[in-house]
Amino acid sequence: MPDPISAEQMTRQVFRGLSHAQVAVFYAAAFLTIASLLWAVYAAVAKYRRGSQGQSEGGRRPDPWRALARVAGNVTIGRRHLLVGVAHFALFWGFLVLFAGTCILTLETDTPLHFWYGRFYLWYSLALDVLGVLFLGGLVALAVRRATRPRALSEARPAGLDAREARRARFGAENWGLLALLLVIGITGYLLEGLRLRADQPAWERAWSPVGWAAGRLLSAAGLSAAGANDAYVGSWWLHGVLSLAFVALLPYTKARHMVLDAINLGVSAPGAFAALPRLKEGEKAGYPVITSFHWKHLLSQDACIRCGRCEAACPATAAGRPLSPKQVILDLSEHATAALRPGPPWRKATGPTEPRAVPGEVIAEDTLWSCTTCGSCAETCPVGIDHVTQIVQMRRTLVEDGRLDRKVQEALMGIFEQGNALGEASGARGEWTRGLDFPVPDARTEAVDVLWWVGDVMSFDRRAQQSALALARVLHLAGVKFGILYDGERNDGNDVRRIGEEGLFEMLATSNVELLGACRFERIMTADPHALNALKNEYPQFGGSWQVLHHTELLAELIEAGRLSIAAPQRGRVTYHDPCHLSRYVGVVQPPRRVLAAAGAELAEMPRCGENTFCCGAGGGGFYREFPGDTTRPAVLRIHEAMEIRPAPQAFVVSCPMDLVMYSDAVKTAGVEKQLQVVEISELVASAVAAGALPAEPPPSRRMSA
Amino acid sequence: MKIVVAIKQVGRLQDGFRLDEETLSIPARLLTQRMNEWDEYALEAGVKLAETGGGEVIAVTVGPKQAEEVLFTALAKGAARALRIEPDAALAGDPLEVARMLAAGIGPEKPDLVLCGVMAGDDQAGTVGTALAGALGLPVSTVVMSLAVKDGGLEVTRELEGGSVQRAALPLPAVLTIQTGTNEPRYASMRGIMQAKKKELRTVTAASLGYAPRPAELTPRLRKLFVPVRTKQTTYLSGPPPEVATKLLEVLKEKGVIA
Repeated sequence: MPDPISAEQMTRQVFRGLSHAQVAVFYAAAFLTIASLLWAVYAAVAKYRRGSQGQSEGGRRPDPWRALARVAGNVTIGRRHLLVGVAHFALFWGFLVLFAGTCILTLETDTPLHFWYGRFYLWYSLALDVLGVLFLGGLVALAVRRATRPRALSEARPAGLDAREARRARFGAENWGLLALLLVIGITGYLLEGLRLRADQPAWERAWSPVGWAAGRLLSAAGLSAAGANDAYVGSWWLHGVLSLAFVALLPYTKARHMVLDAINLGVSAPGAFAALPRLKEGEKAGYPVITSFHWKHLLSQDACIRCGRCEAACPATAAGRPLSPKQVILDLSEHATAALRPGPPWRKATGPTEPRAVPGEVIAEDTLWSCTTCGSCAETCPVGIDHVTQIVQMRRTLVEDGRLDRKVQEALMGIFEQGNALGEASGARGEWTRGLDFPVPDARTEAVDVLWWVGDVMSFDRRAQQSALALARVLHLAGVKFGILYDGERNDGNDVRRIGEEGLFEMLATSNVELLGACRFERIMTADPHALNALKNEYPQFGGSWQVLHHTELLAELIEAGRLSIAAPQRGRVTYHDPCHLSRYVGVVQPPRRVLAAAGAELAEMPRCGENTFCCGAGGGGFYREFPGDTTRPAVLRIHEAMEIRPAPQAFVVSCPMDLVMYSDAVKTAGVEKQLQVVEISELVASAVAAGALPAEPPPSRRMSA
Repeated sequence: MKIVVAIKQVGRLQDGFRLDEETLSIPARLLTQRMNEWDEYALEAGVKLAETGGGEVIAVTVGPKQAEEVLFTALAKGAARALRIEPDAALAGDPLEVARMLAAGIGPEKPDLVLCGVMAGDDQAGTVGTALAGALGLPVSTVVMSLAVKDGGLEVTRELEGGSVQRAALPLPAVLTIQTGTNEPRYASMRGIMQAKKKELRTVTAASLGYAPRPAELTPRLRKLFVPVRTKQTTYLSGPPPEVATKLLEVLKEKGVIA
């Protein structure tokens, strides 16, 4: 048995067995690696500095402290993918602690500090030993997942995009190469420890390096002598060392850069930023015409993409077979930016992109940009904080300024400009739907009201949506709410105009609507149109309009819970509820409609994609105004299929958005299930539930729930 | 290449429109004013040609102050400058006189090419383009689907009846009337229209261009404006053509259409 040793002796030799020449070679290699890393940092900073400055978002601001917590907890990775999150969490902390361990070693060997012995050394050994297992475990779990070839991880490009086979091959090699590299580094780390412990057998270290000790035992059992272990050590050390340096050197040039960039990106980006788009800069070409027009944060976010494929899996346009994959948009932009903004030497000032190709139309195809419904599912689900939507809208702004957009969308925009609505109706007829009521609706322009109801284009003019407007009006009347509307003073809210990319028209609409609302007297604004809700609540503040704005489901929940509406005829049907993307993702209203349904007596059967993870009907971002003849299956029809898979089947498909009402009323016919599944606006369901003779004897036909 | 595009602002009917039989017009508040659809295609064809082959597009309209809206739209879509000819009010609805007013404004520009829409969506006379060519003394090709400049002349395809297409060549300068659906007219964004207000827009009266109105007695007058009552008075004539012609002649005489 060895003698008891002093604390000073409880350590290990850093460059064990290496000659001075070998150590010098290692230092030279390390310096080269660090130089390569520094060049990459310089190139990245130079690249991002050539992006535009100022505001990248129009409302929500980044919260670095919250982002730090999300990074530390790998929260965004584990959301809806718990196992991936756990595996990545192990890998993340394993890597971080091992990396920190290496840095601590540098302090010990390359600075006058001396602390790496005794108690510190023992805890250090134990920490690295255990975290190394997490590191390897996480790696193996993620490798196994990749080996099962989940669709999201596929590098294939959707049909309709150019193939780019070379890039796919490179990505494939990179995916497996990095996994293998990290695995080998981890394993050789334990091998090294095992060889050393086998050679030296320091009994005091046994409890503090359990895995390394076991590795030593294993080597011993395999017949390796102490001397043999000693001989194998230096070779193994070089293998481990060179591979580790190689990983650091490769880091900025492969997707491994996400380790640094994603933490930064999450820190500088605001979740849900797309709900309030940035305004245009005066006197400049609109949007993102060339790569240097992109905001530096957006350039950075493109490089942050880790190709997890969650955006593509969530995208309604991809699902409908359109030539759009949010992932490929980001990768194409990143690739283009890297090539176009490659920096020269630091002493030469860079001007303009070296490759002045137009981004919208050339780098990213026009059809790709127009395929987007701006539903925000990509940005919402992105674990690394990329805002695809804002970038796509910025590129659309350029196309709109160049006049390049679908004829029907042009028609809708011109209608909005001329008549204030996109449905080709006369502006004066906006309040006509109220004729279906047997009580007058006050004109909020001349009369003070508690609730100013912003009706919106679709509810004002669409025949089907008008029925839900009537139902809502009757319910509010029954509850004794003093509400009024703006009649022909109201103009299109501009939410979708802005997302089409017609910022000038949006500014005109926002200015005139804010001015009108500013001249009215009311307590709160309510709207049943989530698109208008987003504009009023999140975007009009940019134009000086800030009020308390509610979705009608919030008001209905409030009225029911306050006892101002009593449920006389519970609607005991089984229903499913579709979250409008603008309601759940843009504004964050998820529970109120569910509370209303529960209070009305309905049995709610959720679809797999619900809440913030909802699926878009296809109407957003101008999709309502045009056709997509190339769609294999329209998004709304895909959604109806999803609802029809619920068991037992629901009888009604409840919506809380007038565009949804129109889209799904049509989609159930396309899907051939209009007999099995009724599309109901939530106000109609409430109207039936509070009815019991209190309502006029003319509820919207055939929309009542069957029990 | 100097290209002139003649553009008309036309009223579009809203729901519930009615005719004002006293003023022989449709009340203006029931109309929304917009660029004539055919002229949008003519403008796009002109702008495309100028973009690919070089040159400038000049947008010209005959109309009241309000018609400047379509000129701003045209400027936003790529026209370099614009001209509004304030018409002799009494003749503003007479296509032959509008053509003469246009010619008075366009002639001094000495354009290489003049583009019009096939017709205007409001009165659908389809006359101005051809009459303008006559007034300018230029060759004309109508209902043009595509055009290309080749060896200093024009090669065009024309839409004929029954799905036939004619290819034709004509020298420059010339007048063409452009058919709808033959290109993809670009959109004029709000920002574009705002910026277009910095471009040159000249306003002149027809009289100042040396235009002399046609004598009043030769000017057609609008006497009645009404919504025709739908009636069923169809008579089918059958038999060999000479026989049908004879029968037709009888019917026309009987109804007092011809003497």
